[in-house]
Amino acid sequence: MANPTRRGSSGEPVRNSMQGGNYTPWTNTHFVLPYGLRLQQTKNAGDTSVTIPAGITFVYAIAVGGGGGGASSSTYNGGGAGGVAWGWTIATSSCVVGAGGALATSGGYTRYGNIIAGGGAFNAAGTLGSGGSGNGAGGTNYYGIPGGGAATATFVNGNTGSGASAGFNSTANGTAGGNGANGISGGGGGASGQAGSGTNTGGNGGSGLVGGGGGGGAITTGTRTGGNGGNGINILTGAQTTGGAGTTGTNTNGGGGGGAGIAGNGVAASGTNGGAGGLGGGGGGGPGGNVTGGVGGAGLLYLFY
Amino acid sequence: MSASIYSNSQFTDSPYGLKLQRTITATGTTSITDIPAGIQRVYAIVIGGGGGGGSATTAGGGGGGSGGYSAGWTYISTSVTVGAGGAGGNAGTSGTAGSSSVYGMVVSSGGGAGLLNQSGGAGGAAASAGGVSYTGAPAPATNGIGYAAGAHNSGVTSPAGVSAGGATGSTATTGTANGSSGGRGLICGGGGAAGTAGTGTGGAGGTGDFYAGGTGTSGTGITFGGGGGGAGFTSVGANASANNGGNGGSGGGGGGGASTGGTAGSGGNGVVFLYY
Repeated sequence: MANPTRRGSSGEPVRNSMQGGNYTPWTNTHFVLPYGLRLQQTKNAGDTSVTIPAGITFVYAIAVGGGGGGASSSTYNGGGAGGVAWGWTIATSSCVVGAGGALATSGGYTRYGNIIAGGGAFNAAGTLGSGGSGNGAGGTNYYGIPGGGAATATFVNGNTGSGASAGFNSTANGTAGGNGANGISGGGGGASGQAGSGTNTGGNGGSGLVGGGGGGGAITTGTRTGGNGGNGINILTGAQTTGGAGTTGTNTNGGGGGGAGIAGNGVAASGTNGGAGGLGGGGGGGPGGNVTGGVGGAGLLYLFY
Repeated sequence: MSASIYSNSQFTDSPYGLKLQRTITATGTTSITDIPAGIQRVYAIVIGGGGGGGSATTAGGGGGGSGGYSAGWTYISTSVTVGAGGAGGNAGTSGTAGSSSVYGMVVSSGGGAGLLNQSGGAGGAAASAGGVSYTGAPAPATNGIGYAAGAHNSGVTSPAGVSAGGATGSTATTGTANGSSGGRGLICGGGGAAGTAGTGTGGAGGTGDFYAGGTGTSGTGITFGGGGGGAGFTSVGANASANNGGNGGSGGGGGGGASTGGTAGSGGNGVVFLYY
């Protein structure tokens, strides 16, 4: 009996095997992770070249954009998670893998062939499936799955989408920032950073395949609590990756945790500093004061064939 | 009754292991009647024609956007349409958009035209926005990275994408002026031109995954500053010459812009690949 999940030989004409004959398909049932294929190459931020063996004309790619960086000051919110795109593409010898966003900077996009995912946002709407940041909407992804609409001052938590929207930044001392919404890529947590003596609590980053960064709980002389980074999922194993925890207390506290990436946990905040996003697009956490937010997690590119 | 996807030979979207069997480059609509018997469907990659660059009467014209890129399974069709690249503008006129390519139910738009000083978006007829992809990825606004990137109006490089946008030309007519370069992509837009009494340098066409973009020209006076053609899917973009833009590479490259009434580059023709 033939193996029902085997792959055909690379380069074998389909007319001799697949179509019109009583043969079984080789590599279907994939949705995000391609069934029956092997992970052959992993490309990291800054990699630009790819070597595909002769005879391989198509590969299956999973692209993750770099996570958005957390705020450096002023807004204190978390960065959005990097977008995720997947599918078959023609094999090429070059790639673009986005870096994680530096402080107050959006992450870079990742592209292989015609598979493209956007970088996580900073203080903007997401693009190509990435999570929003700083009141921003989520981005519609490669397959046209809509992004989440922007949160508002009335409905402060973000909205779900392929790229989820960010939590709304608080506009009053003692009022919490909204949580970033869950999605394929989570939105960044909203900040609570108005001056006063009340308790400022940043919103949590949204969870998904990639997590958004937690918002900072900043400035107040009262208690500052940073939001936790959103959780993610290791695409290769199905295991959860975890967002970093925010810090809480008075004075030098209130940093938001970094969001989890698809390949690494988010980093916990440290004092007023936000935690870095995890490898594979996690959003950086917002700061608890006019210090440093976490950088976004670097993007990734997986190639299967 | 139970059913198994494993016993259904039609249930797959995987192109893995397919061979390139046909490459159609002749523009216009032609017949295909020799797909072997027994082939019920094919996997098609369809690329639209690149947009032509723009020619500015004074200063620099914008580059044309690159053609769109679509891929997928389709039924067997007896005809195929390959989009021609758009003509470049001449003596102060805008370019024209590239034409669409179609095989079966796989279709891709031509690149946007370069205007007098503005560039064309990729994969869409609009001059400023990008195009929606065949998968549904949204059209980015001007200057936006996307599947089919938007046109360009600021910065030194036009936005990247699978299909990159054309680059904007410089509006300066005195002093040093530089046209912007085409962004990176699988297919690329043309460079913007610069036309100035000072030193003018045309932007390079965007560099693609397979081929390079053409270079712009540089020199003092208005007879320089043409923008290079964008890399196509199947060839390099042409270099600019004097104040004339370079043609886009075949397979959808955008044409380079022209300065001071020169002739802008034409977009590269589209192409259709059939795998089975």
